[in-house]
Amino acid sequence: MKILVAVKPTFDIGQLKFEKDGTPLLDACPVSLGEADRCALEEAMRIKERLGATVAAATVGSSEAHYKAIRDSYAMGADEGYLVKADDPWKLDALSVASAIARVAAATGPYDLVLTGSGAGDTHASVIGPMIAGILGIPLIAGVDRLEVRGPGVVAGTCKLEDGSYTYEARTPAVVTVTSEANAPRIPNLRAILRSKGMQIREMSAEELGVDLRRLEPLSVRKYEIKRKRIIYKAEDQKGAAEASAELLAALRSEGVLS
Amino acid sequence: MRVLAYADNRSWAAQLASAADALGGDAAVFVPGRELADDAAKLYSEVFFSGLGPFEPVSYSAAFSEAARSFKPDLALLPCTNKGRSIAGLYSSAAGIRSATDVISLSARAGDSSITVRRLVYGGRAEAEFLMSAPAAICVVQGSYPERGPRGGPGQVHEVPAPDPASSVDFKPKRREGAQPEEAEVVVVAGRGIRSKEDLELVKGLARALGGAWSVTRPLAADQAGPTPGWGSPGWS
Amino acid sequence: MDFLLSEDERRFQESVSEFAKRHIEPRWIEIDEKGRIPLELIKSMGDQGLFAIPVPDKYGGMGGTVLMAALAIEEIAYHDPAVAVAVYALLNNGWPLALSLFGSEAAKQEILPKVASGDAFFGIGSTEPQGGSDVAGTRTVARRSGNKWVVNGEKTYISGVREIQELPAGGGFFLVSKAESAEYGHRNMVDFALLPKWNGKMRDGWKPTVYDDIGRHGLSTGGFKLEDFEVEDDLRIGDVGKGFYLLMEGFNIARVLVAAATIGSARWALDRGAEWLRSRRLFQGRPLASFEGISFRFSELYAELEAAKYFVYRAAWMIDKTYLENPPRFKPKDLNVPVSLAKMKGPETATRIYEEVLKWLGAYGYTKESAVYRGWLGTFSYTIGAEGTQNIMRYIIARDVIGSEYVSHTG
Repeated sequence: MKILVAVKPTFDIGQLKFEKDGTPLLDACPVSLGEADRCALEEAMRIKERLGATVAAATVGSSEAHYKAIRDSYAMGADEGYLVKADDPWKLDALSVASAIARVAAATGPYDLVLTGSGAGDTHASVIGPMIAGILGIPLIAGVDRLEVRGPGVVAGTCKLEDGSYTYEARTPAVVTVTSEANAPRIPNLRAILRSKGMQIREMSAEELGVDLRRLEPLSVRKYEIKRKRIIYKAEDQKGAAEASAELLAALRSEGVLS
Repeated sequence: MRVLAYADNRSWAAQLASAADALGGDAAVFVPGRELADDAAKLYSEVFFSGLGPFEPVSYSAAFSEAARSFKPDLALLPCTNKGRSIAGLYSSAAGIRSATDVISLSARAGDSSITVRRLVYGGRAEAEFLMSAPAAICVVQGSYPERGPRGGPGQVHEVPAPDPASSVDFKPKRREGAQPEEAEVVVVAGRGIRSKEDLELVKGLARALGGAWSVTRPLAADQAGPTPGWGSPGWS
Repeated sequence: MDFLLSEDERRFQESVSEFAKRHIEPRWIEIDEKGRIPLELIKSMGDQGLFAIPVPDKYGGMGGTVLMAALAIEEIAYHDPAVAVAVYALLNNGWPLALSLFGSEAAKQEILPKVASGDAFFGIGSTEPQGGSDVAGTRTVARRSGNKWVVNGEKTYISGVREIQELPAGGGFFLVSKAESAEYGHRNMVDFALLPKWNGKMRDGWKPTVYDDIGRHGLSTGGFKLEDFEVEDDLRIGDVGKGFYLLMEGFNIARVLVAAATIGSARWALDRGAEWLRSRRLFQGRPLASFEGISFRFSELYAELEAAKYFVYRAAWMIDKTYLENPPRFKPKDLNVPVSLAKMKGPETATRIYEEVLKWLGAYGYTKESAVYRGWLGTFSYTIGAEGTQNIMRYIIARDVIGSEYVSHTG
């Protein structure tokens, strides 16, 4: 089996600080392989250990953090690593990233599975996986917390969505996105870390892949402050209280606070 | 701006209707079933539907794309949910158009076909403002737009043939345990005095015995999310 | 001079921090309260490669450095402020390295892989009832008898006495004794890898007792009598007559790891202190941090902790350049002062930090619920002076810096 895992270094948003004017201090924010991407790598490793597979990791971006993301993938047990060079990778638009990954898959495949985390902690939330499936024209199972290989060429994934649990069975090749609840990713030991240092990372350019990398420049990025709505529900008596509660409940529901 | 919305329930249909209003122009909606189509027709002048089975992203987005081929929207508006994002990703890659998720507001710029989009980034800690040109696919955060009420006569309903699902689906609906606090007559609430998981089980048991719901006060809700002594985790508060 | 850790050192540090957060942090209080480190935790630490870090690959070690071991111990201690798990780990890093440097090939092949995997314990057996600091006064005697040695004596305040009995393979100690006669002096000593339990079997002649410590309960402290305990000659560590000197080299390695444990625990305490100073409000809503009597004291302690930390890293770096590089940059005696500085500063800084943080917490700090006292008692054992007393550290620095002809009071 051949598995490609698309990985991305993400900002540790728990440690993100802001200037007084609301500008995020990104340079000072630690960056590491996202939790969901690590779960995707872990699923790949489990399949490799149980059934035998070659696992490749791929990322789009030329920052130091992107190279480290591939080295960290090696430390978890990946066999091959591909890095699509791109300056200023944080501004790349999702479709460009997905196209680049799809081209890497076409150039270095064929792959039975393309895995990725179901949502980067910072941006591009949850669309890269579906876009890769759309470009490659293959089935998509999005948001799995359980993945199994049911037989040659057949995989099944269970997803907990808003209204219940969905188990999808698809023929490979397929794209599967993995949630951060799927497993506890292995922590590489020192030997694996030292070994990963010496492994080659295959760099690829957008030109050689035939992909156009486009960037989206924001007009502004600033701290998000939730504005207090300051709506008061008043009641003078029991009847009024019942009415006010009903109104409040309806408002909370329409805000998505209650489901 | 011509807007085609995707909605799989009445609330989303109503929210995206007011989002479309904010942009001005014609709006239509795609829904995955006949029943919802009749409801949606009270909100939109044009409704597309397909007789689809339980949610499967590839077939749902193919049906949505079919509706888009017919309606030719400048913008697709979808819910920012797991399902919505899957459809947005598949649709935008098929159509070769840009997408934006976690969008909290949209406004059309007078005179050209671009829109100003505000979206949440960095896990919701920051907001980014972008200029996007149509066509594009946008996933809107729940509650960013109010639910608009019915308007005008019933809209035109068109059926779109249902594509085959790309994967087989086994769906188990969510089963709600016990009564919901907002509906129950009795609510047993645990406060700061509850120090351990075992004691919390007593609260749940009492709620069950009374046929009511159980809940916790805010400090306990915060504690459940993080480590505190007595909850089997270390640390101190 | 590059003060930053290398990328591998940082990645390793992060991996240990993540392991400790997942597996040790949720249990450190229970470990201290119940007085036991669960055997599956020890095994999973072995699986993760947290023992025998600086021991070469060919003996089952991780092929890392003492600096990496110090980073690992510091991270473990941050998530186990009572330091039982951190000390268990440091003993099983420092003394296996000493065995790897000075022991026989047969002993290394036999013992080190099992220590690295977490199946066996290897610590230090030096202190005796009549004294710990005065190693030349050791009374345990080993007498040669054909292909083995027969050892008689008594050791006290030894870590791991209970754990050896419970671990599947067992384990033992880097044991220091006199050769043939108990005459006072430095030149008639010999070291052994003494294994009271090995491959699941108890050996005859080892009579242990376990003590009841006031803190760091998770790791046992005890003593044992040796009554005609037999040790094969290939478990002898180094030449006869070299025992004192090799032991001192081993202590230099272990002491820097002890200092690493105390600063990890102290960092936890200072972080909790900072959180408290931000959130505790008094005198009409002022955070405690806004009172300079408090925040200035915080700054002083922060400075001491940083200084102690760099003493540790520098000493560990020098140990690596002495034993793990060829040709060595330093001689073993060059390590005495840097290591003693680290071992002097680390525990004492931890004790000062804990005292101050407890004062900030006030009555809440005096309750068991706050848990901060566990770190205070745990690290205090090193201020009292385990693995080398604080006064011996002062003695070593004075002797080497002022000059031994003026300072020395040993013959």
